[in-house]
Amino acid sequence: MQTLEELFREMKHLVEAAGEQQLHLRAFGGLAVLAHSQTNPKLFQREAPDLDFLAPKTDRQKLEPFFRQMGYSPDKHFNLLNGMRRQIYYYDPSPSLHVDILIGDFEMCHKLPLDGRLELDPLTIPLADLLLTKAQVVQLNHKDALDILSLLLNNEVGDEGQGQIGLTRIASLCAQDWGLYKTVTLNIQRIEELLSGSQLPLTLDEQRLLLQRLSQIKTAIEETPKTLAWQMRAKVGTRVRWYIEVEEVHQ
Amino acid sequence: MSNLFVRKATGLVRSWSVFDAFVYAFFSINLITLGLYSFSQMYYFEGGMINALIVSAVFIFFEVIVYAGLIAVMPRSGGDYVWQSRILGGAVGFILAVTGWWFILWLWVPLYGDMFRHIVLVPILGILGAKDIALWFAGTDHGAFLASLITLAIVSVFIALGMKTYAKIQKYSFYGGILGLFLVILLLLSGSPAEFKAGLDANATALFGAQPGVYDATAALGAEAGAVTPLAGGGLSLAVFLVLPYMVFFNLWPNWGATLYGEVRGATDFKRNVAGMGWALGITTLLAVILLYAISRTIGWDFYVQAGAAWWNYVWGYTDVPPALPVWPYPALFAAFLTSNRLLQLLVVVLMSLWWFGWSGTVFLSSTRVIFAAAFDRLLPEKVAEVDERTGTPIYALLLMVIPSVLVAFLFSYNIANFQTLTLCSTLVIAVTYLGTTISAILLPYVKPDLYKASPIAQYNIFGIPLITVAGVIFGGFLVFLLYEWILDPNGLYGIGISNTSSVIYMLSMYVLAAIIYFGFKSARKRQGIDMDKVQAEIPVE
Repeated sequence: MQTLEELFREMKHLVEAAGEQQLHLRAFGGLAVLAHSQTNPKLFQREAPDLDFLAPKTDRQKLEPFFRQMGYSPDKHFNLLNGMRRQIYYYDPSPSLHVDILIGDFEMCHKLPLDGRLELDPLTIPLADLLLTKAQVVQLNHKDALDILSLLLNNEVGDEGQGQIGLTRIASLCAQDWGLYKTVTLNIQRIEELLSGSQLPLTLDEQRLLLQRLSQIKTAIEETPKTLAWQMRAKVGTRVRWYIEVEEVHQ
Repeated sequence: MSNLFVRKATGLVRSWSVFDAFVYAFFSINLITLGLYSFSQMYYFEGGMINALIVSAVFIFFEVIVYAGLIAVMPRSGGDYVWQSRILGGAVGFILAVTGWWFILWLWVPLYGDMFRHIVLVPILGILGAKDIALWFAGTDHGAFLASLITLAIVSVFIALGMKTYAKIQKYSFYGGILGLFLVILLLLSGSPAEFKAGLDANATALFGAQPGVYDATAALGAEAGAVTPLAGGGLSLAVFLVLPYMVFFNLWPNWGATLYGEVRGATDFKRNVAGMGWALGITTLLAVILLYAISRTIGWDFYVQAGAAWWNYVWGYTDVPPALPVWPYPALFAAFLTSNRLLQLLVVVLMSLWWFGWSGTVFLSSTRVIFAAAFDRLLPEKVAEVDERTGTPIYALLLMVIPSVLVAFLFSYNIANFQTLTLCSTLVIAVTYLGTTISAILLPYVKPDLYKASPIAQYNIFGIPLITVAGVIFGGFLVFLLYEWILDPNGLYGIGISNTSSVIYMLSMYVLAAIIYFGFKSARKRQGIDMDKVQAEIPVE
């Protein structure tokens, strides 16, 4: 299982098979971005992405039996120490392929609470959260930036109920957490700079569309009233680290 | 593209922040539990307590450098076991790590239980008016044993909750405990010796049924027991150094999180590791000096030492005369006696009890990681490195801690085979393990030069000698001094050396058990075609 198509099929297969066993698995990461970039996938650049999933806390104990049944073996050492929040499984016939599962909330540089949101999309986490999983990365790399652009190129921003990238969701999370606000707005600026000096394979219309959608997100974030805690944290600013450290670990 | 980053490897958010690791280190050298418990036992030394506190802290700072260095080079769950087995060899690594991080913790359980009853149960029950239950816990063997069992239950729950939740518990305990200590110091500094004497006489009689005149009676019993330890003095004399082997029962442990650093963010940052453990040591030492000063100002240093002497002289069986004060002389309770407001008294002892709750998980949490690391190396059954699917609890690793602890707690609580004389064994066996790790640190740059040169600590040298080696030699020398005093005990001060048969048998039996497990599993694995030497030559994955 090496090609992008095979991996994509495997992702869908795992989500559907899990669903049959009442295990609410939802994809995030590169393949989830691809799932929402089908109309115009030109910005999606990935050879062999990992299989990344989120599962609710209540389903944690179903994970190991399910993945064993699907031909995967647990990373016992990793799961022992981290299994309450994250688990890793390897595909037995091809151990270079691994499944990475976050349990409960998405938590990397920032925490995205996902309680009750895993049923909004049948395959992936909701679009707004998927976008934020990329936009919350403090050390945003080229691949992350392209993923964000790919989502914005293929999906309108607006009403989550209409299958669009939920503006209210993004804005409300950023209005509660100054750290997330800081990173997301910083990354929007980085992406705008990337677009303006771009050697990206985009037409002028596509560039304009992307800038407009980024602007819509910015406006929604800025116009949403902020909590008292947000305002107090904003006064401290970047003198104190505003994000959780994510380490590079070679598994 | 200059505003974007290059990031390739798997991103991992480890469970604990550096602050969590600091709090764990701070609680591991717990001034209120370990500190006050041991200070009360140290009534017969001639060297000054404050001098001993400072001198020991200086030596222990070198321990901080040694461990911060090893963590930065190899931040792995299992800590000492991984370092020793990879640098000194599998047999030494396993035997020293499991004795110091696993087996001896069985003995720590009744000690944690003893502190639980004296610091949590008795003061709270007494102030709430449950005099008889308080006295039952304070003064009976059954009370001591039940306190150990409750301790085991609480700690097991904490372990089951996982690292992240435990970090929250210890964080809230830290803030609450600091507030409690602030209140205690405030009460002590604003009170007077006369007020304390009156408060003790009134409250000890009302809450614990002591006879009137408890202050004078306690002082007389303490003086008779030989209470002499001064608050300060002795400079850097031998008398001060002879206090250190007892003092380290309290403060040898800022590195107690060493086995957990595979789960701490930024653990490869040497300076951060030094800061986390070093600040814990520095702040604790400073707080100890302030608290002892506040005690001496209002409770009176002589009375404090005499009260400890009166209590332990009876508990250790040197006299048949029970202490006039029927509960352990707890300075926070004494401070609470400076007010007659029962609610304020309760608030003080409840807040101070958080020092115990925030610390109690340390008895097993670090040990579980050593058991896991040994199991991953296949020196223990794989089963012990499994978690219960429903609760997420490492149930088998916990059982390996809990079941022997119940037996040892029973022996200790009922003082069978003189088990209560073994208190300092709890420190000695771990010091031997630390010595093994310290030797590993000294040798690291020479035995594993590639690993060392690629690490962030390679830039720290003193006159061309690696800092970790220099720090290791100084701390190793300190450990050798402690071991000499404990084992040979030329001045008869510690009671756990070669003259104490129970102590020798207990400690030796642990090393023999560890050796049997190691060589037994090595041989069994060989029959299965697994070469343990090769397994233990590999550095485990993060």
